[in-house]
Amino acid sequence: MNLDSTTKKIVINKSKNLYKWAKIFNRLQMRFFVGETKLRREKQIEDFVFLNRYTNVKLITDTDVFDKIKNTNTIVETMSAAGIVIITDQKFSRYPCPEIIKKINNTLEETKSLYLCLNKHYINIDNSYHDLSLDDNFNLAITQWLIKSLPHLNIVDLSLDLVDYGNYFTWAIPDRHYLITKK
Amino acid sequence: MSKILESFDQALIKDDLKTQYIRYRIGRLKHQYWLWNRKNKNTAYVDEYDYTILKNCQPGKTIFFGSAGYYLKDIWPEIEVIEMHPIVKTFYKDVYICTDRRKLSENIPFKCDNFAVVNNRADLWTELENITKYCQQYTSIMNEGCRFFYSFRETQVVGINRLIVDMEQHFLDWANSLEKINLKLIWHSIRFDKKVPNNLGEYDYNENPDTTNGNLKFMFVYKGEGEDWEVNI
Repeated sequence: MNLDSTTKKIVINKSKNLYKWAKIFNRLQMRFFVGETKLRREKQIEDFVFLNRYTNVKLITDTDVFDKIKNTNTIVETMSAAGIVIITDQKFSRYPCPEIIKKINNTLEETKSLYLCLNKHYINIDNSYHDLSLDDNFNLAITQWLIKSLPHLNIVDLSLDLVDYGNYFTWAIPDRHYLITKK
Repeated sequence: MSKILESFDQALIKDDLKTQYIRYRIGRLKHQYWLWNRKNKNTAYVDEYDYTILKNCQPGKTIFFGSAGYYLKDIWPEIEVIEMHPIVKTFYKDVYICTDRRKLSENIPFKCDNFAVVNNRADLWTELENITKYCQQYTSIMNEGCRFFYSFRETQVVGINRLIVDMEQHFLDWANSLEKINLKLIWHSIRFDKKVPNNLGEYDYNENPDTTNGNLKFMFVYKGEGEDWEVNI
């Protein structure tokens, strides 16, 4: 390749994140489909809030989900005012493992219940945490890691045991769902 | 009443061009460069890693596969571009479409000396074993000594227990294992940057470096002459 063969002025761009649809990703994906659609995971959480009569809900999200909850008068601004905190924000899954545990503890110091969605594709993002005693099944291993790291809390896994080949809308609502409460 | 979806295959996807284009677009970030450059006669923006690939190409045919290489072809017309998604042909004519890698040698009338695949979304969301198969299929249109540039993101590889497996070693072992298909590893960059707290004790929550090109970058040579070139980074 003769890179000098072009007459254009070449500007080398530092490689950077070109993704720019994060805040509308759910709506964007749903528009691909014929007819009205809704994510099962989104409905699961909305129905969980409704059927368990939670009235003070703190949402921590990174994309356009939970319109049904937002359209009620149940939203609160602070964790301390919340009966339940719901986290679907992908950024939470991108902390190192010990920091995820620390943030769960911090949240449960302020509120009674946490509905936490983790994106398994980000867990142990920096490859700094390994525990060979965990199960070979990655889904189960995540649950085991949480239970082992948070023995003073109740942890209920509400997820499905699936292999994700990129077709489960995980970047709208992550795949691993946990109800975490104080003992 | 909305249809409740667990996965993409549970509802019909619109087949109009706009929908197809948006689906292609959000999965091919490098297309942004083509959008930036096409209206600029005098200046061309080039991604730093793409430029690194080009600096390391040897004389002969150069192919960019599934990597929005058409933005580079507008600058250096000798680059050959193969895309898997037929939608590309609707906005860029001078491109080969190959929807099935197994038919590369049937669809492409030449072999190449440099072959680049940069974070091709169609290669991902599968197990590493299948990525090996894809790499083998790419070799079907490589001349002996061809330089092979392959990069991707680790978050979209299926079947790795991230709490048990040392991913850095795992991907390096994988790259070295490609010698069995005559691809010898010459250079690699595997980035799982360790996160450390700032002076306030807070961690960054960014993804691993280079979501556009991938945090796993490898350069190989396909059998024969040309081994051990001095990589220019």
